[in-house]
Amino acid sequence: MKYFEFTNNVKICSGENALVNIVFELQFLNAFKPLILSDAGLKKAGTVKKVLKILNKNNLDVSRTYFSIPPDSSTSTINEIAEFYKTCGADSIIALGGGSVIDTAKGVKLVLSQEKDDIMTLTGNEVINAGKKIPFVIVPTTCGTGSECTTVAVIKNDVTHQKMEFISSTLLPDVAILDPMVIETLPPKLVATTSLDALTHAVEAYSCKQNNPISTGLAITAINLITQNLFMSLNHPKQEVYKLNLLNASTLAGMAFSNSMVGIVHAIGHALGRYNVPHGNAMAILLPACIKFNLNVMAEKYSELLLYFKGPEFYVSILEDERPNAFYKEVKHFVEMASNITGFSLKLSDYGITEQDFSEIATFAINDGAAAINPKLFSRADVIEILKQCL
Amino acid sequence: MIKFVLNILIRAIKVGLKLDTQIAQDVLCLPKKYVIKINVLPKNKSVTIKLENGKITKLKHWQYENVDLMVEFKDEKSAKEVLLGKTSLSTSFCEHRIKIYGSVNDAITLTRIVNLIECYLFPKFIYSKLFTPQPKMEESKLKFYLTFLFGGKL
Ligand SMILES: [Fe+2]
Repeated sequence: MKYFEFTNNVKICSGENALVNIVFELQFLNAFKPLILSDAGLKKAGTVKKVLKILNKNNLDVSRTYFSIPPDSSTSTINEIAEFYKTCGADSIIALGGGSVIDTAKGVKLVLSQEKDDIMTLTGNEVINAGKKIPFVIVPTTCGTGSECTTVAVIKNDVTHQKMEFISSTLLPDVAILDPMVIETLPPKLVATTSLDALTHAVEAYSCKQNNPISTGLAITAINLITQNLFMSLNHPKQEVYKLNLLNASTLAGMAFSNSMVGIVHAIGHALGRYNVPHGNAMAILLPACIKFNLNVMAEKYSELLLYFKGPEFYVSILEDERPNAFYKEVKHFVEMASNITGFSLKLSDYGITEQDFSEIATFAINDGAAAINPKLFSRADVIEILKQCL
Repeated sequence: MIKFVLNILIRAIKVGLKLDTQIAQDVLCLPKKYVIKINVLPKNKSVTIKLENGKITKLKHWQYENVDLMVEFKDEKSAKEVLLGKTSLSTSFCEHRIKIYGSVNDAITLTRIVNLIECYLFPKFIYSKLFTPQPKMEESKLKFYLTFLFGGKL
């Protein structure tokens, strides 16, 4: 690429007790009355209560809340919350959750900062100006989306049921809080699948067309952290340090892919999301098959990735010509190990996908935003072939 | 110059729609009645087309009120590089040379159509550098050019 842009102006507070910094950070942004967004699952798991208790203890007004965000961020939910924000007298937003809570919060911030009533009037890529300042803090509760540091939000259009992509640097929050306390009760399956999502972000950020030197560095560090900490975390779930490292990896991979974008794995994964295949699971299933698909075009990059994925000793033990294929095999093995330890399936058929669905999934995949970024052009037939391998 | 090349691109898309079923299939991915504008900043040189019933019609500025999808080049140099086959539309998108107003998914469909059209318009030594692998053309370039030049009002 002859030219690149890199955007990331998010302050990151990471580590033990990071949550207590929210109060200071909001004050710094002249905000005192946040609207706190989360979902029913986190409320039920007790995470919301724990976080509210900490914030309350540190004298933050936590009376404005909305905890009914559905698993799919949608246009109507965003418009409803934006309206609620105006009537409840909030002056800032805290998003506590995974991908859908964060994307919803980004949508709400967009509507409010552009002083609009409907998110659908703001669709597009890089078409929005900075707008009105809405202080915005994100607390991710999974170790995968990296959405706290991305300029993208994927939001479902309630009318057409289409997943719309919104791309703008104004979607970034002011602060991301990475506190291992909020993921201490995250089930091992979700630790594994969300981390594999982050791994996919790093691999695609490293190898896709929009790749740049800054994203490359971030992606390499993310890969190192994931390979060194995922199984340690699954084997020692009580030790916070491994989960914190996975959270950091997720954020780094998020920064990387926000500026490099993602490719075929995400294009097909987004399409599978319409069939309710959870995103992290879809990534785990698709990543090896898509690496295999890209192999002939990406040999050099995948060869380099083998070094970061397996370390120098393993790397030099493999003949130069065999390194790209070795990378594919090692990623496949890594994903299979995660699946065996935590018990999630690597077969699309176990998520209700049948061969009859392939044609529609393939059409959605080739029209996904990520399709334009993959280093190798792909067709409907290519997607169907990959889906067959994953059934 | 930009306006002239944009008009060539539109006519080429019309020819492609007539001759290559892949383009017809891609047009089907877009909403049935759809107005697309390609605009080049800073002087707002543009062409606007309407897709309706699988047909493409070029619109004058007084013939439309709303644009459903606008692909806007941030500067003329970037637009020329795409329109003259020096770079692909997707690379231009990757390099942040383009803004998209409307559905990003529909813009990707348009990108795929333009990719194939560039293969018909340009010699292999040009388009082979733009795409890996190269999109497969269903028709011969000769037929494409003959239809382009003598196909009348498409
Ligand atoms: Fe992802």
